[in-house]
Amino acid sequence: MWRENCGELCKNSKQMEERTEIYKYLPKYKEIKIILENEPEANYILGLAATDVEKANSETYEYNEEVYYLICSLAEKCWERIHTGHFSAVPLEVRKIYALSNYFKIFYLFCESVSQQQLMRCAEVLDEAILIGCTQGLYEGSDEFQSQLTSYISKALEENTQTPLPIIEPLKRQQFKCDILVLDCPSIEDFRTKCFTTEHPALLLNTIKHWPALQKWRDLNYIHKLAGNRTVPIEIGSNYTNDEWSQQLVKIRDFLHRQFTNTDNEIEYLAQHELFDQIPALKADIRIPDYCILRTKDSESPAHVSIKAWLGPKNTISPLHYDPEHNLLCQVFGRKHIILASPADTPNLYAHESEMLCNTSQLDAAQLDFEKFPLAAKATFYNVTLQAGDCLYIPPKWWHYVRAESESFSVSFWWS
Amino acid sequence: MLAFSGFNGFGQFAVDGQRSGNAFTGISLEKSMTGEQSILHVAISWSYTAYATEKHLMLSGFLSGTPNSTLSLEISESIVQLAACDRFCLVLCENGKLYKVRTESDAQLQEVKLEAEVQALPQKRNIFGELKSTSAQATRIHITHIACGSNINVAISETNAVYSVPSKIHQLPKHFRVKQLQCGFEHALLLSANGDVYSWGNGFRGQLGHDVLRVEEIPVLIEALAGIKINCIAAGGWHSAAISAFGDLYAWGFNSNGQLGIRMFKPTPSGDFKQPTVFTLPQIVELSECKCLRKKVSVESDDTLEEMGEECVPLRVYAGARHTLLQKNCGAVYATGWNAHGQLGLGRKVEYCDEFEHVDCEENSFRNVRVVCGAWCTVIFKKS
Repeated sequence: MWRENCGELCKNSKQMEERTEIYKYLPKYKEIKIILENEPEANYILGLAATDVEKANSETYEYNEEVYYLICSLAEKCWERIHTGHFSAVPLEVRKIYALSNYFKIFYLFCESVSQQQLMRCAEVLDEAILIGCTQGLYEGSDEFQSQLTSYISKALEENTQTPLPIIEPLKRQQFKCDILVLDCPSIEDFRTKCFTTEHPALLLNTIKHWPALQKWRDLNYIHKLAGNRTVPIEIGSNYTNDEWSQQLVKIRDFLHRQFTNTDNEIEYLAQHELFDQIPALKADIRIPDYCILRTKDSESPAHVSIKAWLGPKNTISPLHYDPEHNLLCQVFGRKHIILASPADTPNLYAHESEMLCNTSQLDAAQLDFEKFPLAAKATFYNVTLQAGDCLYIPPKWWHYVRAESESFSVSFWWS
Repeated sequence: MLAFSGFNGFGQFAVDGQRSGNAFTGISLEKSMTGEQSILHVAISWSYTAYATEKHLMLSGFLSGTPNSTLSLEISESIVQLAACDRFCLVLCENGKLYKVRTESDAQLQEVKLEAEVQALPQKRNIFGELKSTSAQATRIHITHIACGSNINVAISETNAVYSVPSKIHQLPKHFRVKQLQCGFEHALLLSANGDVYSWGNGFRGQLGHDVLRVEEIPVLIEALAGIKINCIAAGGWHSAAISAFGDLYAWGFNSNGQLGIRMFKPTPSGDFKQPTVFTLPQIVELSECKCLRKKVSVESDDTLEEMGEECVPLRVYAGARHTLLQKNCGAVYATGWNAHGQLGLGRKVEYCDEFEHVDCEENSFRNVRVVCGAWCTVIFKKS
């Protein structure tokens, strides 16, 4: 009995130490002062909180309830401002202040309690900071704060027993007819001349074989362990041009259970999300392909590569559309059927008229209706099947339709 | 009488150490500030409150970066209206001039110059073809109504010019008479004397009451209410409300916290069913039987006929960021929406209400009371 108590105590004090370690990465007032220059209320409240946190090391520390209340109020007020007017017109400082107040809110949530429920709430508050606020270049220790916090939370919640998730069976590699160029691990120079400068799509084999993700991610429990408590935007409904289509913020844990243990649910798709900025631990399992260093113009500066995750069950569909940037679509597990069409065929592809959907065709590329869309008969369509370990190069403005033929995880790299 | 309920994070209601209140709490303003005059106008921003007597303006709360601050200003003209924007307070005087006062403890009154109307009068010539000197072009603009939100500040002049301060955005017809002007975070509502409601601004949460979600640059008649005489309007953060001459309450826009008085979840045998969060068209809000004293008396006595003569109907409506208050002709006050800071004044802690709840108090003391909703709080006051 006594031993057990001691164990419990030791564990508690160890956890306490770990939390103190996290608090070290909260910002000092002088590190964030510049963000607050034109925001007197935020300057006042975050100043109080930063001072309060500095006292947290002392044995006798009791958190200041009033500051906690003000921090929550500041976060709430920023939330209102971020949701007023067009998102792109919201000043960056407001989103940064929202992120900062969420960071301090996490501190006070910890002070209040470290129950399982509270820890999950902390994970949510962090994701709100990342998804709604702006945490890029916030202050020096911000990334470290996030990683310390997430590893603490996932460790503390690990014991949570839940029905295990499946390990996706690898599909046997098959020969499919491929209408475009196939290159086996081309050199950068080969890729540049044959695909990049000439803007030809190509299926690239054996270029991502070394990714740890290929082995690790099929085990959905692994993803669950690294990211189960994190919140991500999910598309609901099979295709984004449908009226019933919607987007929602959900926990990865719930998404995985709904979509991979039970097949009755409506299709949800974790699509086009910059998951790897949010969860750096997953980024360690992939590598940015060397081809992404190529530039269209002779600009010297390395262009930004935006990395997006696409995870979903069988039959998720991205209707025929195009994007403005170079795109390497890499298949981690599962199989996707892709239909491509050249920008030269754009007049034959019936793009939607509305501003929001003008890069999307009204055609169902998988089942063309020539009576309704006669010009489509003039267009050339290229069929490709993307299997685990393959990459598809899609040049800018090339139309593409994508359907998952099985459970599937792809990673796309966009650059210009 | 002057009382508040709700957010008081910056001491804007001068009640020491009380960050928020669940029930209406009296506000005592220093006599030196108000003299013996009673408060005529109250306007509330997130971090400060503005009070005005006839010729005296007072700001209280977060000024010059410091909470619990006050600013007191003597004004030579009579004050007719206040609007509390985030960084300054707009003051409208009887002479039609608009002033602003920055949220600083040593701020002064600054006149707000509205852009003069570009007058494209045809130039007159005399019989010899020479230009006639036209009379002074800079006609003074006499403002009659003001309102402000987060991304919108509106003023309307005597000549029915509509300003997005300081630029003129629209000219209403000469015969038009403005009865009420209200602003949400990013939209404006205008009620004409003959009972028509116009809206403009950002409508992406349905707050404009038109069936298409978009931005309207100039006032547009709300078709769905056309033909219904409206007596009173209110614009909340992202929602709107109106009361018709028949005593019907209409609400539209964002119902994230039940601020429309419409249920957020519909109970069904297979569990609660989530209702829409955005209502693009005005909805008639169902109100339960009035809980005022008058009704109670009539139920207890057998002689109900006499009491039935006057029905309890909505008279005025007011709106904050995500809450709505309703005042009936019997004096009873009802509230719905977000209550995390106690802004509904219900006297108990609940996160939100998604139907109008009776605000418990003595009806008599609430009769003729004036209500002002701040973003996250509510103030009631009565001339003493």
